[in-house]
Amino acid sequence: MKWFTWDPNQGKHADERVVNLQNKIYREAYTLIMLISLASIIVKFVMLGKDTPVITEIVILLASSLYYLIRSASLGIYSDAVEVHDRTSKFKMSTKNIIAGSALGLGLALYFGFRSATLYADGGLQSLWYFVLVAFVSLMIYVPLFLLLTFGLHKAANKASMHVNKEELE
Amino acid sequence: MKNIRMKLARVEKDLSQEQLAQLVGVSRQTIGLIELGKYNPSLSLCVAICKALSKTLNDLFWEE
Repeated sequence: MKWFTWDPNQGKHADERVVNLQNKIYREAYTLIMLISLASIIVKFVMLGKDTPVITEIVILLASSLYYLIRSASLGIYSDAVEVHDRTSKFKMSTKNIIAGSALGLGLALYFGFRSATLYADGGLQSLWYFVLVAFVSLMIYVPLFLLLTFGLHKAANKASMHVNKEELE
Repeated sequence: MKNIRMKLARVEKDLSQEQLAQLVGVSRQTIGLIELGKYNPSLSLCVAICKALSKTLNDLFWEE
């Protein structure tokens, strides 16, 4: 991916202090772009309503995250980061991914349940029935889906990264 | 160029790459790559490795 990391000082001896600080700034800029994209989604929903298209922001958030995941796995540093994380953290990265996936699925299921109960039911038992029905069905769909997206992707990236590492050390 | 001296010092201390990695707070892969000469560690990492293996920077990282 050399076209992404063009360096005007290529070939010359680069000052590592400058390069390290530049990398620090790039990392901060990445976080800033993520925060601005998230803020943009929230502001659009609040100011313009929930039917406002936010596809650009979603693409920015997902594409950059996916790019990082693929690059870190293909360079073999994903499994290294997981190894160091698991050594020092109370919860393993896999556990965190399972919790995050389940929580996202559960959150979305509860949201859909409440939405159905408040929008379509006439109150009383019907509201409760709509909530239980929709929340349960959503739970069945979204928990496995988000588990696949978080835990499944994590496992796949970790395996690919370990394979790269194995080849590098041979 | 392979860092044979670092590998020898590690074996002398009866440490695996994994154990040395834990002592200095990096991944096992990083230790492996330093020993293979495929990764240039920062000075602070060199110092941490030297302290863990009870060696000096000269002993492990100075090329004659």
